[in-house]
Amino acid sequence: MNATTTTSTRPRLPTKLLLLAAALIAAVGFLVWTGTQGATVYYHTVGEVRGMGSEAYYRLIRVNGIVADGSIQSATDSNLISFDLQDDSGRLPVEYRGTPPDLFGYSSEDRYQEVIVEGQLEPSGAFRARSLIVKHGPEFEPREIPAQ
Amino acid sequence: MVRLGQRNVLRGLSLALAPGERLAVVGPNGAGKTTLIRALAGLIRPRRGHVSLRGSRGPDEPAARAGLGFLGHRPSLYPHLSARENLAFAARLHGTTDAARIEAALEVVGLAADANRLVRDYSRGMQQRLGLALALLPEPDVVLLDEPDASLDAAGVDDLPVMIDALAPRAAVLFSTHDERVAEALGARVVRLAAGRLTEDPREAPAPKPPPLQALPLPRPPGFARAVRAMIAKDARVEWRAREQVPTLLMFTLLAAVVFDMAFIAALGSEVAAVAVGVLWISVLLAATLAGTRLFTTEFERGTLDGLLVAPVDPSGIYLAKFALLAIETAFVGVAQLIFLSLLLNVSLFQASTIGAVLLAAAAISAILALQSSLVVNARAREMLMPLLAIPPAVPVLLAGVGITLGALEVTPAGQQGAWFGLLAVVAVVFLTLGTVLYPQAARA
Amino acid sequence: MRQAQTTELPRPRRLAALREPANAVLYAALLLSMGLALFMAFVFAPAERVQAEIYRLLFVHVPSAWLAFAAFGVVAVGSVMFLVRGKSRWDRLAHASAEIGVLFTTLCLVTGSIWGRSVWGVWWQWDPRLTTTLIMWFIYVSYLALRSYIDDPNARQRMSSVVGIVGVVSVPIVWFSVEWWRSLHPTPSVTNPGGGMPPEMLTTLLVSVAAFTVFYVVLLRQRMQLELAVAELGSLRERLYERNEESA
Repeated sequence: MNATTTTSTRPRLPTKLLLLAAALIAAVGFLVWTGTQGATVYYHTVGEVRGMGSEAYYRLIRVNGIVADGSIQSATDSNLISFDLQDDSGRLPVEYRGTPPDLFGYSSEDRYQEVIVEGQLEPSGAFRARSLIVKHGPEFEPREIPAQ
Repeated sequence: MVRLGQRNVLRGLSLALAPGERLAVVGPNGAGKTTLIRALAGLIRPRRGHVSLRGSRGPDEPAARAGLGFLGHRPSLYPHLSARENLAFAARLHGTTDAARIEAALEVVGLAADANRLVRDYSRGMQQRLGLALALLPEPDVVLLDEPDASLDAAGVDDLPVMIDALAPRAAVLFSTHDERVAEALGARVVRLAAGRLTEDPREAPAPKPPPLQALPLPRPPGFARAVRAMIAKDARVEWRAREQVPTLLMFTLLAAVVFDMAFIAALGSEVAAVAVGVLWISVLLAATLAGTRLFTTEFERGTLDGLLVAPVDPSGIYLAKFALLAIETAFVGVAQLIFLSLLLNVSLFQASTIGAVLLAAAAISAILALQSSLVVNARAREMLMPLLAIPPAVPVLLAGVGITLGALEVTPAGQQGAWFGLLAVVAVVFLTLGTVLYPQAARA
Repeated sequence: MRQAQTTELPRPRRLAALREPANAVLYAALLLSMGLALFMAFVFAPAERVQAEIYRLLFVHVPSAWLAFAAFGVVAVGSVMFLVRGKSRWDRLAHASAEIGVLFTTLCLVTGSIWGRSVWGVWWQWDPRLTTTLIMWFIYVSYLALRSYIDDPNARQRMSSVVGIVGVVSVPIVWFSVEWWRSLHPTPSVTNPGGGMPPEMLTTLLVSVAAFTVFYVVLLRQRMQLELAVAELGSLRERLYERNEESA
C-alpha cells in the first residue's frame, strides 16, 4: 500500500453514461408516443366526446373547440350562457352558468374564438360546463388605432 | 490533503507499506487517525493526493478492494444477525462461501461458543473481536484497523498478534492506536500523527525503503449479481428478526383505509371508487416514503454502511439491493391495501390490472426513493426532507397508478391502460439507470 | 499576543475579486438594458389587439422562463463538473444558479397566473405546461432544501450534485410539454411558425431577454462571490484555529 500526495484521482463512468443516455432517449420517445395516444390528454375534441357515447355521461371532462359563429345566447334574467362548441367533427351545445372571462365573446371578422369547457355531458346531449376557459394562441397583433 | 467540514484534517502526508509489514499510526485523540484510515479504505476522497493498493489501483475501484480487510472505529455489524451470520454475509460480499474459514475465524477470536447468539446481545469487547474476525476473514493482503485494541480486555490485546498471525499472516497491516504497547506487541514500525501531520518515531530505525511498486495479482472479486442477492437476503433476514418496517407499514395502510372509510362513509355515494383509488395511492406513496427514508439511514446509523462500501462490490450494487428491498416492501403493502380497500369500501380493486399497477408502481417509486434515501444520510431531520425530495419526481407514478386503477373501476373509460403501464415502466427504468450511475458518486464523502 | 496573531493572518486574496472592474461594467450593462427593456415594454411596444395591455406580461414571463431553463441547465453542468473534477467552485456555480432558477421560475409562475386569470379566466389549470413547470419548481426547491439540511460541506456538495443532475430531466419535459401534449398554454410565439408577433413586440421581447440574461449573470456572480466569501471566512477561521493550536 502506498499513499502519496500527487494530483487528484478522477472517477470514470463511460459505459454507465451510455446506459443513462439510452434510458433518457427511450423515455423521451415514449413520452412523445403517449402524447399521441390519448391516454394523458388535458382536453378532448368534440368528435372524441361524441365518439364516447354514453361512456361520457356525467363524467368530469374538458372539451376544446371553437365557439360557433353567432351561437352565443345569454339569458337576461340569469347568468346562464349557452353556445355551440364546434370543430371539424361536429357541434356540441354548451350551457354555462356564471360570469364568463373578459375575453369571451370577443368577436372579429377573421378570428374565431377557441375555448375549453370543463363539465359534464348529459344524456340530453347538452354539455353543462362548470368552468369556461378562453384559449389564446401564440399569435400577437398590434391594436389598430382607429382613424380620427 | 483530506478536508472534513471546514478543517483540513490531514496534510502533506506520505506513507508506504511493504507486503507483510506492520505499521502503527500512533497519535492522541483528534490527530486524524480515523480520517487517515478511512481515506486509505476509500471511504473519504482526499481533496488532493491519492491512495494506491498493491501499487496499482486506488481503493475507489471495487476490484482493488478485493483483498482489503477493514475495521472501522465502530465494527460493521448487524445487531439482529448472529456472529456466524454476520461473518457469512461478509464472506459472500467478498465472493467466498468458505464455511471452514468462518469457523476458523470464530475460533481464533474466541467466539466459537457464542457464534449463534445475536450480536445485539454481545458486549462491546465481543463486538470488537467479531469486528476483527470480519476484517481478517477475506484472506486480506492489506488490513486497515482503526484502534483494534478499543474495548478489548488485557487478554484480548494480548491475543491481537495471534489473531493477525493466524488469519492474515502475510498481509500488510496498518493500524491506529493511542497505546504504544499495542504497537510493540504487534512488532510494528511506529509513525506518529499529530494535528494531521506525520512524524516518524526517532527511536525507531529509519523506515525501510519501500520496495519498487509492483502490481500484485488481485484476488477474484465476487460476482456483482451474487453480492446484490446477498445484500437483499441480509436485509430480508434483518427485517424478519427486527420487524421494524413491514408490520408497522401494514398497520399504517390498514389505518388509512379504516379512517377514510369511517370518516367518508356518509359522504360517499358514487364517488366511493374515486376515494378508494385516492386512499390506495396516497398510502402507497407515504408507506414507500416512510420505509424509503430508513433504507440507507439504518445502515448509516448502525455503522454498517462502511462495511458495504469497503466490500469489493461496485456501490451501484448497494443501490440496487436497497431498491429491491423497498420495491418488495412497497408492493407487499400496496397489494395488502388493495385487499383492505376492497373489503372495507366494497369496491372491486383486487384485479389483475390493479395488482400489476401496484407492482410496477412499487418498482418505479422505489427506484426514485432508493436514490433519494442515499442522499439524505448526512442530512438533519431526514424524515422532514424526504417527502419534499421524493414526491415531485413521483408525480408521474401517481398519475399513472391513478389512471390505471380508475380505469379498472370504470370511473374513467378503460382502454388507455397500456400507455399508463408504459409510463410506470419508463419512470422505473430511468430512475434505476440514474441511481445506478449516480449512487456511486454520492456514496463516498 | 492573541491580537498579534490575528493581524498576522494573510489577507484573503480571492476576496479581492469582489472589487473587480468587471462588476462595474456588468452593473452598468444591467442598468442600461433594464431601463431600455422597461421603456420598450411599456412605451415602444403597441397594445395588443385582443388582450390590450395585459399581454405586456409577456416581456417578463417569457424571459424569466427562458432564463430559468438556462439556469437549471447550468446547475446540471456545475453538478456534473463537480462530480468529475471535485472543485468547489463548480458546486458554487450550481448552487447559485439553482437559487436564481427558482427565483425566475417563481416569477414565471406568478406572471403566468395573473396573465391566465385575465385571458383564460382562471388563475390555474392542470394543463401539461403549468403542471410540469410546477413540478420543476418543486424539484429545485427540494434541491435547495437538501443543501440547507446537510451541514458537512463535502456531503452537501456531492448529494446536491446528484439532485442537480436528476432534476435537469424536468427541463426538456417542461419545454416540449406544449408540443407533445394538448395544452391550454400556447406554443412558443417566436420559434413556432404558427405563432407570431409584429416586429415591435419581437424586438422588445429580445431586448427583455437580453436584459434578463445580464440580470442572471449579475446575480450569479454576486451569489458565487458571496459563497466564496463564506468559504474564505471558513478557511480563515481554520487558520486562526491552527495558529492558536500551535501556539498553545
